[in-house]
Amino acid sequence: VTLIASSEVSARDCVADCLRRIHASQSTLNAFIAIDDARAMEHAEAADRMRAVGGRLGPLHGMPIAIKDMFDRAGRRPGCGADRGGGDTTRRDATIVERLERAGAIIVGALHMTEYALGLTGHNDHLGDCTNPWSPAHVTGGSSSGPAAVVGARLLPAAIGSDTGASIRIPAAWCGAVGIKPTHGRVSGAGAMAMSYSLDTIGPLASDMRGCALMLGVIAGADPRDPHAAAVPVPDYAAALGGDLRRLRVGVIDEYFGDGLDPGVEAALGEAVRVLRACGAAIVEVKALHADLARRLHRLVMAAEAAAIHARMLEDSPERFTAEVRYRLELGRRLPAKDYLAALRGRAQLLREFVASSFARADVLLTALVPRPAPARDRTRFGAPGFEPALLADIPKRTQPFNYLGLPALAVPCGFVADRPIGFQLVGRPFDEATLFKVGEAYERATAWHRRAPAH
Amino acid sequence: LAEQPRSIPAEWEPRLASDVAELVDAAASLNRLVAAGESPVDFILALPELAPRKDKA
Repeated sequence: VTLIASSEVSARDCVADCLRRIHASQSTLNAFIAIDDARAMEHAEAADRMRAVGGRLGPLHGMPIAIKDMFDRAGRRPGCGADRGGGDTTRRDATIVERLERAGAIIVGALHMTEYALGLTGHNDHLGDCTNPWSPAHVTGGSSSGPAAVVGARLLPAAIGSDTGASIRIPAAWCGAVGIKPTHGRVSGAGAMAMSYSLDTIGPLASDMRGCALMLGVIAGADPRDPHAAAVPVPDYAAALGGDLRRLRVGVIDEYFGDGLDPGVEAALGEAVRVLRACGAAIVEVKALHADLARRLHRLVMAAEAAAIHARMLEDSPERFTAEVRYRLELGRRLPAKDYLAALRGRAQLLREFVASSFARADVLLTALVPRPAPARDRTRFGAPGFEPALLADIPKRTQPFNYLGLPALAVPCGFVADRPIGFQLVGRPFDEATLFKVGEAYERATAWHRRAPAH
Repeated sequence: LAEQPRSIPAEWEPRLASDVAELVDAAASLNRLVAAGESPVDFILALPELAPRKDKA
């Protein structure tokens, strides 16, 4: 963005180069569902004209990005990774699309995702799998498989995903990207596919903290189209980056939420704590109150709401869902309404108690994110020969509690195990994404993981 | 993509029953913990109240 704004590089050349590399990657990565060459080049040329006449440039001026295939764009119908059948196109862009384009971003296409965002691996039997840019035999993680793959492959500096239980953070960690699940209500969901009204969040993935902070600053904030988008002021996340971490307390949560960790992951977490201490942070131990209960309640709410959202198709043509998604929806259909409502009615009290206990001693929490690097694709395909459910059973347990509690959580790349990326998670108080970025950026400056790129 | 059957495979039933029981039990555990009378909207109101002071308007 800086190079384009200062005329050292034209948006046209930048976007053309990205498109060339994207097309070359499709046969191996399969990260794009649609590539909008003509529209992207038209917008890039307009961006160059704007700069030439001294027009006001937005914070993402000329920056090529892509979005998960679940957001409305005028005249198109998102595929949502599924067999949706025919239907009307929409007349209006999703709010996040409007805000990104107004800020100067150039959307080059729509990205691969898990069917209706209901799955953690990135497998998709409708579209073919999206593959991990660091190792094609391994999963990307899901459901934001395409966004994580294109950022991890360094094809684009940033992309937009969604996170209802882990769907930004797990694929970000497994593909070597930064990714943030914002506070519930921080980003408008107008024009986005709903998976679970009470748990859905939309957020950016990027190759570094600054890019992620810039993107969130653009898409966050109140929206008359979405009453759940909170009227809480949006700080300038990117401007607040830099400096050391003195006066900040990092709470290490229950030994990282760490049972079942690969020794390589555990060693990386220990090293991350050492780095943060060297950056000036005070390290304290913190207990995560109600975390396991919050995880189970998350599953209850997600399954019930997803089943309600897809109730008609589940009744009329269940054969159009793949087995993994059908299982999740069938589970939701069997849950009693009184238990679903209990899970929502108790949410405020659990949140207050969690914040009071965990953030009394810490400004941010540090936890494990992925227990091991990305597993093999052929061992994680639901119901197929060789399927090993145990490889996936504990994957979301460190992420789901924070969707139920509505707290912001940041995926931070922190090294490699068996040549595949891993990451840790920082969790903040409601609407305190700024502190997560500050800690993440200090860690990033002290390490070099974000500068690595996979061999193509 | 192979077409999926319309009916639920019989082998899913034990796992579905077990998952339903686990989630119903979670709701029961929550009911033992929380005070009565809160509505789901209280969660939406609680989030900005719990934000750090610096982010408040």
